Amino acid sequence: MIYRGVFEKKGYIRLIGHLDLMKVFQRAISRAGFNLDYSEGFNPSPKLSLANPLSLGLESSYEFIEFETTEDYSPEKIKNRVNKVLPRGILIKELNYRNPNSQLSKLVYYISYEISFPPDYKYDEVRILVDKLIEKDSYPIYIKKKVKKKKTLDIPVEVRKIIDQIDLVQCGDHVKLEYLIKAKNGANLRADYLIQALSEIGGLEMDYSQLIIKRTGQYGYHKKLITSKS
Amino acid sequence: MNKEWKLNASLNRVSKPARYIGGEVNSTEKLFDQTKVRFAFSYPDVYEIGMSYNGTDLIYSMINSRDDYLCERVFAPWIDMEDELRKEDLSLFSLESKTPIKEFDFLGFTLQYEMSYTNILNILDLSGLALRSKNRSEEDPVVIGGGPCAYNPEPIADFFDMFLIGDGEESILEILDLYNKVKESGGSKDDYLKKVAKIDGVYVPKFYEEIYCDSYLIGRKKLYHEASDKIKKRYVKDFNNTFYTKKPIIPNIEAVHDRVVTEIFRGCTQGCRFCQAGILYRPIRERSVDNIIGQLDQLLEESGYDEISLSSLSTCDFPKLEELIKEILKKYDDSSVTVSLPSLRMDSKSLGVLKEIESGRKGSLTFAPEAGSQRLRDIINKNITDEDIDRAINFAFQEGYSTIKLYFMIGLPLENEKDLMGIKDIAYRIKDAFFKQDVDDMQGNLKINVSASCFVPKAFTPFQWEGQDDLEALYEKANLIRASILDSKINFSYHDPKLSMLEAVVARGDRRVSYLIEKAFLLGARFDAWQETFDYDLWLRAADETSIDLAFYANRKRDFAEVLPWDFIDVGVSKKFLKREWEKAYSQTLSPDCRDICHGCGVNKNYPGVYCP
Repeated sequence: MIYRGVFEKKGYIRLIGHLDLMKVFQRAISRAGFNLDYSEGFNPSPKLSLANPLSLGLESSYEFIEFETTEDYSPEKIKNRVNKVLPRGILIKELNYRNPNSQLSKLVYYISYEISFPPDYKYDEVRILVDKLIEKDSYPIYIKKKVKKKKTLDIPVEVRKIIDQIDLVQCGDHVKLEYLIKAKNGANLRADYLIQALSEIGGLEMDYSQLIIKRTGQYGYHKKLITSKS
Repeated sequence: MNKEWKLNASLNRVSKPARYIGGEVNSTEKLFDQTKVRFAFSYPDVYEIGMSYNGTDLIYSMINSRDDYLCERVFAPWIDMEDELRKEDLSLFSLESKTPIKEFDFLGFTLQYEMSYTNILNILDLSGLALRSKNRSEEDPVVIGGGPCAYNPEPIADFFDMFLIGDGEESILEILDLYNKVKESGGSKDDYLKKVAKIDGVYVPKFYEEIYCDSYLIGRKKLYHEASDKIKKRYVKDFNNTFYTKKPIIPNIEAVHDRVVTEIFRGCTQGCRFCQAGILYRPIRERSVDNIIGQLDQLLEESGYDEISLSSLSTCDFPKLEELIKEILKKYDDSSVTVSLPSLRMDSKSLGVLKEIESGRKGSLTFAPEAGSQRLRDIINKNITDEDIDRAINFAFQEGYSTIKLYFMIGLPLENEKDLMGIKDIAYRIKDAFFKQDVDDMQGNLKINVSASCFVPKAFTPFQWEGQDDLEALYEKANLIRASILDSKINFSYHDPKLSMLEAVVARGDRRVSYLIEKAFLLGARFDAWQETFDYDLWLRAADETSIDLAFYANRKRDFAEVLPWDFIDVGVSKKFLKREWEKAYSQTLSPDCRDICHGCGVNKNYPGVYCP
């Protein structure tokens, strides 16, 4: 049976990468007593995948997992038992039989993120940068890419056009940037590129490593959350 | 920015940040403030290495099995994380609750190899603790060390409050219980140390002093009249009724081995004369097949792993090995459980067992002849004959293995050029055996990896009086072998003789060597066992600035009448026995497996084992 689930990855566990996260799920499912189905061939691997892999260091309250088991188990049972044996910070929020012929890569049209700034960054100074970016129709940044041997080229990456909505909010003692990107067909905006754009546009040096980035939702064409039943 | 923001930023900048986060399945969630005795356990290397050590889980789960005791972990931060901690003024913290190490009651280190000592000093320093115990305060944690290197604790004695000699699980709760009692009655750290010194196996260095005459150690002096004259090791007698880990911590990132490990027995009867572990862990204590299967059952269920490792010093010597393997294969027939065995003997029984457990894909097969000639193998009492080697090789190729790994040592006592060339001969013999097969029978591409490490004389071995070859000799020998191997199918590599020389200094050092280690640390030495971070020149400078004569400790042949820095420890085996074995080495006489004949090592007097008369 094929299942799709939505899970969250919060706290320090954000610091394990995509491949390690897959292994974590694989072992947890096995530990919970369920048999994953494996691929054929010389080097069988478990039929388990995480869509739209999250970069290392990002939190998320909305990630997708899909996996296949050899037997039919109740999704509720799997969810409850696996959640008991996952490391701190990872939790399956919902799990269902996957809708046949439903492909996540085709369903995702928008992805929302939030970036938390430490208290050192004041609302007003960041607001100016956000407004400046909103004003523009297009805003590219330039990334150094190694082309051949010792040559590097400055490749332009468009930051503004991929943003559908963006806003800055005060959250307790620190500010949060909330934004929605157009993610159709696997399009993505790296958070560090967005920060680089904001830094450049207003001349305010921002240290990306000080920020906490979180993915908060994945949406379909009508900007409604995609679920495990979609 | 407050501490939490700063820590998050640092973690975002370092490589493999998951090393420092904790939160793993089966890690403790006890609240620091709700426990009475708090123990920070440290394996002084990176997380992945420390989490692959069986003892981490053992000590951890043992202490945490008590409701009011807490054990958390701390490993050596990698270079980039150390920079972050110093730059951001963050003190080193435990994985689970992120509590600064300084706030724990105990900081315990497992001493697995000498070149981890600069990491120990780094962990003390990053925790805000003075390096030398005499400079630490009443509130600072009790710093304790255990493990194999604790059998010569003197080079690091000045940094520790106490050592536990022998099997840790025997005495760890005893010493914590005593601490609890002393703390509750308002006693001081010194009160505790005086009381704990009375427990067998506990060594409190500050109650003793070494006495020197010129460069030589000539004795020891007790500074506290009630301290023991000799420290007797502790050992687990009944291996079927001892604590074992039921719920191993599942690392969040790939540890060195992602598998379930169970110890099937402790100790070894082979009697290889260079081997320290064979002496330290005497006598043999075995687990029953039922006991092992029971453990495996629990561990596999709790971990979700699908690979089993049967661990011991010489697994193929386990008398019920065939039965055990059959039971395992029968029990886990339907699941995809694989069994891996560490080092193999090359006799027919082992090969038979290997055939049972091997799975479809053949990786590499590893053998450790240790010496290239029968003569030298007899001297070191390594019981492998040329027939054994040939048999093992034929088996390997028949079964489809095409990568063969061979381990040897260079710089062994009485070694000559013929012995060294023997290494080359064995490699070539293997190559010839492969190509002698019918073309139709040849499987895979042949690769022979020959690795030579440099012999380091260790305490409590028959070779503890030997001098290590000097660097020039070691390089000469390595190059001799390398120059004689001209085949592209055979790859020869050797361990860094400079690192081995330093290991030899520390392994048989006395208390004065602590100044060398301390200086090396202050000059920036870290992760010395890692090729990428080992800086030999730094150690040379440290030796120069502290006037430590490296050759005196590494290369000098000891006189039999000499006082050795570890003589005050009772390891169960007598010095007379070690000397006898040394004499047998020099007369090329074998000492067969002591399961068959007792050689009178003396361990049965106070530490009787399964096979002792």
